[in-house]
Amino acid sequence: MDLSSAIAAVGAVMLEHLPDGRFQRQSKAPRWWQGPIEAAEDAERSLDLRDVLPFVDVFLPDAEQAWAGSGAPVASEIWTQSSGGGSEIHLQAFAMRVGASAALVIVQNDFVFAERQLLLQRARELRFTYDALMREIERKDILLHTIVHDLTAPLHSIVGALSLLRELPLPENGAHWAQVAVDAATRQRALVRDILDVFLAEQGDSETLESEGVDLATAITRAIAEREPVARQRQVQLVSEVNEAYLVVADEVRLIRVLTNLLDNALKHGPPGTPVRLVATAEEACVRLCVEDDGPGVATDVLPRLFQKLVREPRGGGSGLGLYFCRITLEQWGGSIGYEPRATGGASFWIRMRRVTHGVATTTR
Amino acid sequence: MTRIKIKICLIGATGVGKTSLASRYVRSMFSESYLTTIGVKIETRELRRAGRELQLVIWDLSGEDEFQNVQAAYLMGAAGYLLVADGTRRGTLDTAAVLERRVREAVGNVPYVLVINKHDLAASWEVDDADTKLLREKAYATIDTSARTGGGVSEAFDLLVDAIVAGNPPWI
Repeated sequence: MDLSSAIAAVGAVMLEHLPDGRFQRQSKAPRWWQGPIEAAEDAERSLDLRDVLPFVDVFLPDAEQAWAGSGAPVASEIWTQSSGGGSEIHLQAFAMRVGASAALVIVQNDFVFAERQLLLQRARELRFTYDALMREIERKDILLHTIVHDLTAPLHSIVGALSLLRELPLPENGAHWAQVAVDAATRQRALVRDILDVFLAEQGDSETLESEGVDLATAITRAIAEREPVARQRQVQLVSEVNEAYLVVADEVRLIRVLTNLLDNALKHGPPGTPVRLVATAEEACVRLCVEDDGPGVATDVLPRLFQKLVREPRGGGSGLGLYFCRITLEQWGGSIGYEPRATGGASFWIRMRRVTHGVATTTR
Repeated sequence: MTRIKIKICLIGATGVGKTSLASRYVRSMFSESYLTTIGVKIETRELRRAGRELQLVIWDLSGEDEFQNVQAAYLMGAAGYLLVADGTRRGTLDTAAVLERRVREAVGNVPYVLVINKHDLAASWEVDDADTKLLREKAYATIDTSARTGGGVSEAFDLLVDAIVAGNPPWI
């Protein structure tokens, strides 16, 4: 059996490491060895391998350890050597003891190289695409935020000016039209606020949760205070039946926003002369807060999509973002939101929030 | 005259154009298709510079990222290196700064030329002088290149050879 030819046939070459640091070829030359590399051999087929295969220089320390030690084979990384004419070969070296000899086997390893390159290529392409998409999303988000934020500024002036105008003596119907303008500008401002709220909630990363928890009753009091003027205008009474101090996992500012969103919904649908009630129930690791009104309840065809983005009730108006904002905000805190019709008529929106006990947030499961 | 062998490395983040720079310099070729480098690719080019016949042994190292690291062993024996960044991706400058530190720890104060590649896409550049200030101060030279057009490529390698020769190494 001609082992030397067999070695060459699989694209390998076997060399012996000589005491003077050179290498002597012990097998037939594979195709990739023929040419400039073979031309560097002397009459005894020995050569300074580092002259023709510079990579051997970095592999030699590992190879010498293999030759000096137990002789267990040590493999190099695959490297690529450019040969003349622009072609490339992919090689891998193995150092081992063969009897008393220090052997170096160099193999052309195109298959492994191609496999590895395919995997790495795909991984890197995905990474490039991901990075590019993230940059694009960031640019669009910043642009959106800037535009929406800039839309709000003139609205403050408009609402302020119109409100002052209402106080002046106006021609017939003037007060009415001024009020119409104020209402429209106020709705516009609320819409812009909703969009910004959702944008910030979707970012999610700029929020700092209160490590000691947020007092739910205090947050409710503040939300009611904010909506009291509107409630009085609509002749609806806001009633909080939350008398206990529940500490919940939340950010106070955004919790108040969640509560005012729910109150706005209730105020929109609650008939004049009826109350909007806030009722809290303690559960094992949570607090469940219900916001109840005596309105017509949510239309059944809207229910499946109630907490999704841009879902508007036919008779409700609004941006379609308020309940979506509530949902994603509560979910970020480990809570949840839901709706159920009341047995006596009207709507009951509930939110469930994790409680903080002894300064530690509880888990829900 | 004996030809003097000089080992130089191309180092940088993934996809900055190291292989394209080497290919442009050695073979005057550029390919639009991107093939990631595995491990190291070694090329040689002979030139005459500073009154000497030189053989540049160019070690084109695979890019530094979450999938592959630059192997410190590959830097051993390097007389100098091109530190390559992509002008359209500012993050590649951060990687370049990390690699510069790592090279210094591995092989000492070896001269380098800071290369900001992809100058043909200058309209999309995210990199300005302020971003490159720290690296420029430590570099022998800084140059904008385009492997696609060839602009600045030969100059980058020539500058590196000049940097190496200027250091008066004993073997030159």
